[in-house]
Amino acid sequence: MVIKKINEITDEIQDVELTAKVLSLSQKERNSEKGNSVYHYGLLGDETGVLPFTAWNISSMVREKDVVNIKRAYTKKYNDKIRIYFDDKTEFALKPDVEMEVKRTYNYEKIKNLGSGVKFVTLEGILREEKEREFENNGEKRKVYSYVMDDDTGSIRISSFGRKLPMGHGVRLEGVKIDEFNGRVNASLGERAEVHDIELQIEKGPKFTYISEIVNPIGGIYITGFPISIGEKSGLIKRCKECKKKIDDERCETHPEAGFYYDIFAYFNVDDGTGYISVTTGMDAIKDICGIKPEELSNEKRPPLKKEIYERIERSLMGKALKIQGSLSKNTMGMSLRASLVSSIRVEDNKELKKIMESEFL
Amino acid sequence: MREGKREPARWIFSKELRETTVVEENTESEKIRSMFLTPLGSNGRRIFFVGNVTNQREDEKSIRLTVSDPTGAFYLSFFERDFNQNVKRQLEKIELNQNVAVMGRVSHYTGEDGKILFNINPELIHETDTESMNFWNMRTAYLCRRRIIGSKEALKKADISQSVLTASGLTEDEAEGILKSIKAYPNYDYTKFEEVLTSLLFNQQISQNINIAKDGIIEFLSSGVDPQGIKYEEIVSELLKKGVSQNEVDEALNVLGREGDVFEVSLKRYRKI
Repeated sequence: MVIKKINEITDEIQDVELTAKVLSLSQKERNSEKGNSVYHYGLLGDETGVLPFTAWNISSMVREKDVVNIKRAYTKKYNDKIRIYFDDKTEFALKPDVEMEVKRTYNYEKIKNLGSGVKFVTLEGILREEKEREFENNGEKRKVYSYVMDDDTGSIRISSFGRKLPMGHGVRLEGVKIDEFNGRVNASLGERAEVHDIELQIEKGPKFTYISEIVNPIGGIYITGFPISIGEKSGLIKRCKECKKKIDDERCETHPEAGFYYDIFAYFNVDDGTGYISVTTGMDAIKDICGIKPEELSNEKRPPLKKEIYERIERSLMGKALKIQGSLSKNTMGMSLRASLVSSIRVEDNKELKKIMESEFL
Repeated sequence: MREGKREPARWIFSKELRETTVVEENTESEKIRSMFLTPLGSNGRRIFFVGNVTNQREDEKSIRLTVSDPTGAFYLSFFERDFNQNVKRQLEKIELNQNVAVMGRVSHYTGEDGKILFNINPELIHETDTESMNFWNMRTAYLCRRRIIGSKEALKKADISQSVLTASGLTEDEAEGILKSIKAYPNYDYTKFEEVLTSLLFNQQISQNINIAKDGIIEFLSSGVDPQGIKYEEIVSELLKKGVSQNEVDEALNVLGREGDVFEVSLKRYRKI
């Protein structure tokens, strides 16, 4: 049997002893031919780091936050990552007198790989677009700062509670909480998270992705492809002057006296040869490609015509290779891209895309 | 990515469809559906392509088009009895020699010589532009290359699994198609297809460079006020700064002259018209 600290466990070991704190402990049911059984899983940490464990068998005395001496455990790789395992031979001895300060370690993730579900990770990128707002917690006023973080795969919104973060240069954020809100991946920084300045170069602008590679609802990306269908309700819409919500009738139900103004909304499917995705867009993103001027929508002498606007959008988009920048979001219909800019593919775009495609074959 | 809603439209060159000899019957749903399986591992019932309308015939019952891409031709038919009048309206706007983007369902029939021939029933057809065509050619060539490399890798090892192919970077869809096609086309010669792709990308590069040269020349000539025009050497020297070679400048000047955008004032002196 070998005695190890967590950071020394890097490979598969048959018989290992360690003293560690149980940081989390959950249970799961397993259905097999032999019937139903329960196993436990969670995180173990010591002064050197944190590792996940799976317990086919665990002493009922062991609870979260206990410091435990563990003998006859073993380690194996699961999904190419090392994990500690306990079985019926593993021995547990509680160490209530031991105080242990756990060194938290988090997996480094690229933004495009931030899956759904709550987890803590390390991110590296450059922050921009600082916004500050106040909120009240238990009667106490506190500040929250929000940013957009870019790395070389995409971008994500990030909130920092009570702490201003450095912008414009590389940072490594350790212990960032990832969760999903409103169909988008969000990140937040609590008090325990660490912020380090690092050297980092990132090309500005949205990052190219093939539709087949889209997995998580992140921002800061662009796709290229042809529209293969356009929603028949695309085109001219009316919005309430007060709440700006889309109205189907002449009046907003909540603000019947407010009146309305015209706006543009379009939705269409785009195919890039690897798959297709639904794209939604507003006036700002398509006004240039469709040649629709804002004053056309507010011209009271000649109000815009629904059919005419639809046809102009259709004529501008269909049959053309497009570059679409925006943010992904997930809803009951699947993933969709909210466009921030829709433009025609130009010579420079084709040159850039050629470089991207050829780099794969080098 | 949206999944399970619509059958994917495969981006393939006409050569890939023309060399297809396998049509599978899919009996998973209530209807029996024919799915093409190409030698490069593309399979399905729907394709998306871009090309030039090289032939157009219309009678009371049907509209027929031939659309050529750089590797050959697709044959399209639309019959009056087809319910999609929206497609008919789109087809009526199409003219000979126009560049078009088409999505359509593939149907097949067997000729007298036993050869399978394919026909496309268009679901959408719209006029397109040069850069969109370049984009489609490039992306389709890229997708072909991925499948060719995947097929060659798969042929190296007997009983290679789908997961090994996906681990090498192919999508599940690509890997599944490749495994089917290497069984269905055991003696397919990939080198010929690779040669076609190489020549296509080379020609496209030349044509792209000439377009860049044309834009650069027009921009440079627009800056000149001398009625005697700008000297050839000055144009070459200016365009060299933009990475355009002398040969490309020569070709672009010829094209601009033919198109009536540039005029040779005197020997080797040019002016914008």
